[in-house]
Amino acid sequence: MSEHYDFLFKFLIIGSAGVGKSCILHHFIENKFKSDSSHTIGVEFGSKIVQVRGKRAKLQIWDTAGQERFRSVTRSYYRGAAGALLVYDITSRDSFNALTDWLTDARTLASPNIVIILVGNKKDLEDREVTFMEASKFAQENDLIFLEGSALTGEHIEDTFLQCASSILSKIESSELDPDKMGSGIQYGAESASSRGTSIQRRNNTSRSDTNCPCS
Amino acid sequence: MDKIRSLIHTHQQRSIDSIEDEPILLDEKNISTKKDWEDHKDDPEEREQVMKGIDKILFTGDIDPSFKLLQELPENETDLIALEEKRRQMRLQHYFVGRKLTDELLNKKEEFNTELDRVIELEQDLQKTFAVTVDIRFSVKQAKLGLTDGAITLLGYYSQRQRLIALLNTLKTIKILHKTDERLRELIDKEDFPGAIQLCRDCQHAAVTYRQYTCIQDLNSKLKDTAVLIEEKLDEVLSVMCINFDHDRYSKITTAYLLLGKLQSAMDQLHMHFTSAIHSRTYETVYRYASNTSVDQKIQYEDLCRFVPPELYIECLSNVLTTLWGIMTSYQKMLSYHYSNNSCDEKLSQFDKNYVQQKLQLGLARIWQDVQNKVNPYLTSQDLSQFQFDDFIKVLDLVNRLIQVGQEFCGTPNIPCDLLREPLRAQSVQYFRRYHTSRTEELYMFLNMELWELLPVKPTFTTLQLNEFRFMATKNNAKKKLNEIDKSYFSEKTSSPFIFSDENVMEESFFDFQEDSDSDVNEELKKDFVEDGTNENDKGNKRKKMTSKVTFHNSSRDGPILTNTTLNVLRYIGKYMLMMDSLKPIAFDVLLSMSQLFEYYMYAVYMFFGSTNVESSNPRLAQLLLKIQSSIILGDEPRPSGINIPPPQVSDLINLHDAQNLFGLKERLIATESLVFLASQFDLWKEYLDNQIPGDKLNFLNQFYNQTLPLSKELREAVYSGVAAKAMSYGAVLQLMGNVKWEIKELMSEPNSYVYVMLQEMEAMQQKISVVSTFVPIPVEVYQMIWSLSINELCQVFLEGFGSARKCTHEGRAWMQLDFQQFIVQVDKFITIKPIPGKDVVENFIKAYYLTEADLEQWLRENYMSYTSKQLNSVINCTTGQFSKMMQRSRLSGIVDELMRKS
Repeated sequence: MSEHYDFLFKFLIIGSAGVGKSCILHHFIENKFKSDSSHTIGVEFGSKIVQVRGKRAKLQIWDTAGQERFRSVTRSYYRGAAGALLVYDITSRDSFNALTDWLTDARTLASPNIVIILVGNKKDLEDREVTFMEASKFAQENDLIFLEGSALTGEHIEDTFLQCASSILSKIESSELDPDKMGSGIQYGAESASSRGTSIQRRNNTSRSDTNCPCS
Repeated sequence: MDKIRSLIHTHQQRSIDSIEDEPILLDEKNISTKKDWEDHKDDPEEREQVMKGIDKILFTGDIDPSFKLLQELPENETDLIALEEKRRQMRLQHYFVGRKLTDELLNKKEEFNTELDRVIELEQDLQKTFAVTVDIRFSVKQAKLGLTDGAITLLGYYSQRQRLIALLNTLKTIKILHKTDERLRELIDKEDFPGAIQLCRDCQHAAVTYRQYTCIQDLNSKLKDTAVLIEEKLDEVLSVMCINFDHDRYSKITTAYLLLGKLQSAMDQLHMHFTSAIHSRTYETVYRYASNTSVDQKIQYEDLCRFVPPELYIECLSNVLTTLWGIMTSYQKMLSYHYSNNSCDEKLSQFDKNYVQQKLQLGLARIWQDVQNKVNPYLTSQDLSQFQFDDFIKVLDLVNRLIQVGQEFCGTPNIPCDLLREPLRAQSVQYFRRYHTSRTEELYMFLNMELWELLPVKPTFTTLQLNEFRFMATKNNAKKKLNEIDKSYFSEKTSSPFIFSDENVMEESFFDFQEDSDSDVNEELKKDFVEDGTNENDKGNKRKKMTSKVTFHNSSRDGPILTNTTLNVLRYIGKYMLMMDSLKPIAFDVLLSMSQLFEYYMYAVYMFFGSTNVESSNPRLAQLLLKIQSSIILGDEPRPSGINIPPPQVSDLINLHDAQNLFGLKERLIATESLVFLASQFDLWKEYLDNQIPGDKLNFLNQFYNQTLPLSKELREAVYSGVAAKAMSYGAVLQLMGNVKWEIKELMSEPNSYVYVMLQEMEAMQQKISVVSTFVPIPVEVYQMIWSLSINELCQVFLEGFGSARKCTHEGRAWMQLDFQQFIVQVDKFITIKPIPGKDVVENFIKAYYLTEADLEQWLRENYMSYTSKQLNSVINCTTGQFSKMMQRSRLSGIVDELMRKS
């Protein structure tokens, strides 16, 4: 099993319901459009190893439900995310308008250094309601990377993840981000081949003592 | 001849003369003469003598005998007698000569006649010859008169022309013969082999007639070549039949082989054709996919398979199998062709027919073996463990379907398919091991992130609505479809069973890979089981109005209690069960892993929320948890084989130490009840699992169902007791109780104030529970359990408080009873539960005070287990206080000590 990687990044996909978050994740992982998509319940998970800046990065991606009622379930997943995809639907003004709220959530609940990439999804559709210009203005104002793409055609889907990962990596290289800092959402990969050992050790410092008590 | 003639002539004349004379003479001497002749008639001697006596001269022709005789007569002799004698002598001589002549004539008559006939014949021949000659002479005369030399030359030319015409015809025939070669090729091109063979034969036959011509010899060798060509072509078409059977073409070639008398040998060749078709077509197909990479042209098939890019692996497999299926279909069609009574078969002898049928029947197993031999290396060529789940299932599905095709192909379900099943099993084990490891890692992460928030789903939600479980709903349909397909894998209109197409997914696959086929329905279902926001707000408002009231969980109004992690575990299990179906050989491994998911979840819930004293309160549960820990949880030393899941870690956002939220009651409740829900879902799958698991492993399954799953409910007590133990300020109450003096002299009408404090505490707890219930409707049984446990705790407080009394009067004892009664009455406000837990123990304790010494000893022996030694001693002290006998007191204390030691 070639599970070896240099870094592990925790990612988050957020945005209003129906903008195509799960489809973006599905396309990124399976490389095809998910046609039978339905509303996500709670949080789903996917992971993939990508090659960025000559490094192998394992992306651990939490795909959250966009519907309001799942907020209580999804909020815990913001914590310790190194990167986030903030998704809106270019054919839905509402989903664009909601971005500010989502962004606030992300900035407050996630680590302050979180790298957020703004993704305008459904680029393949004709009836656009949000122009590229206003979205990039919003991105500029809020210090976000911005891309438009389509989970149907796959356009820029992988790029969004790669750019996000690349940005995180460059911040690590410039010491702007410290992977060892608690809740950074970043881990170093294992030197050895066994991947599991590392992907789970992160929380050790933070775990409560009573969880370690054996039942005997 | 002349002599004889003259003799005859002479004789005749003489006879005539004699006759003229003699009658006179005879008349004169008639009698005497007659006598003489008759006398001498039969006397040959005499005759001889007489004959000798005849003068020879008389026989010479030139002499007239009469004259001679007359000359000889003596001159002047007139002697009559002498004359007469002479005359008589002469007459005798004449007689004898006549006689002899007659004899001679008679003797020669036959010869004469014969000779005469020949003479006549000769005469006739002569006449004919004469006639012909006359004719010829006439014709010649005519020719000489009518024809010229030129005409004769013309005749000569004419006859030459006739001969040339005959030659021309021959040449024309030869030309046609030569041309038939073209015609033959045309026929061959049109694949009219029977016609070609017939024509070729006719040609050869004709060629024999003209074999004297040199050119025919060329033709002959050419025809021989053509005959060879025909056979080659036949062979070629036969090999095409292996890939793409065509009834008409096949009919033609079987007829042709029959004409050649080579049907049997053709059938013997057939398997070779099929084998090479399988070999070459498979190679070509794989090569098409592998050739994107730099592949050596002459690479072995086994090595070639390794070069198929993983992303094309399924497509390539699908194509390989379709190709093989096509060949198998051709074989089946060929078989059914020979079994059906069609035109060609009529020409076949029964022997031939049987031979062909038998040959084809025997070939089935060999073809299947060839097919397996080709698929096996492909299956083993790559490590599929990196595949997506759906893709991996597709591979399994394809191969399983191939086995079904093979079963139909061979006409029996008992076919060897280890070459397919074994790599499948090996890949499955490998894939599943990796898959399960990833899932447990994910589960670890999910649990780590889990905030134990209620996942809002509709009351109508059932696990079977999840995409992962849709296979269970479609399974029956699929089975039915499968049976239909079963009979039609090789029918005319069947399209490849190995192609996944968008249109007929349901028909083509056992599992619905393309989940869009009824996405509308699904969408609706999803919408249906996810609550919408407005509804929730309504509920929130309602709940606010009745803050002090607890909202109970109502299964018709509230959805099941489950968390995000629970949902994901359910999804995993759905996938595992789907795998179980596809990975029959490792179904048990999958079940084992499935149980591990549940056990890990259970272990996590206990580790996060359970109390530490489970060993004493529920040894069975403790044992199970220990077993889980020792079998799947990563310890100091990882198990070399088997699974190593790191110990679950609760999210640091979970606070179990705040009395205000009842020590995380909400989280505890959601966690525990989600576990109970998860366990309850297994009932839905029992039947399915029973069918999937091999019989010898059913024990494990039953053990899991009977011993592991039910314990999830028992975990409740371990979890809620942690709440109950701290839910109220027991210490403060106890302290208040310690201040109470029980040595009163008058009966009290009011309970002690600590009872009111207790009631306040209970009210406060109820308040907190009701707050929790606004987030999570609390199942009645959970509510009862929390209260039971809490009341039990309070009863223990009573016992402890009462048991601390060193001295007590009758009135004091009555006060105790009053306090306790007040408490019991109040309990009904919060919970209607009979019997109230701990009530008997407390009442029993209070009443022991009234026992006599002997009865008390008996009571101690019977009830010591429910009390501490301090409490028992308190009873003894208080009771014996009335008797005021030190001896009795110390004796009873001794009994208590003894009893306590025993326990």
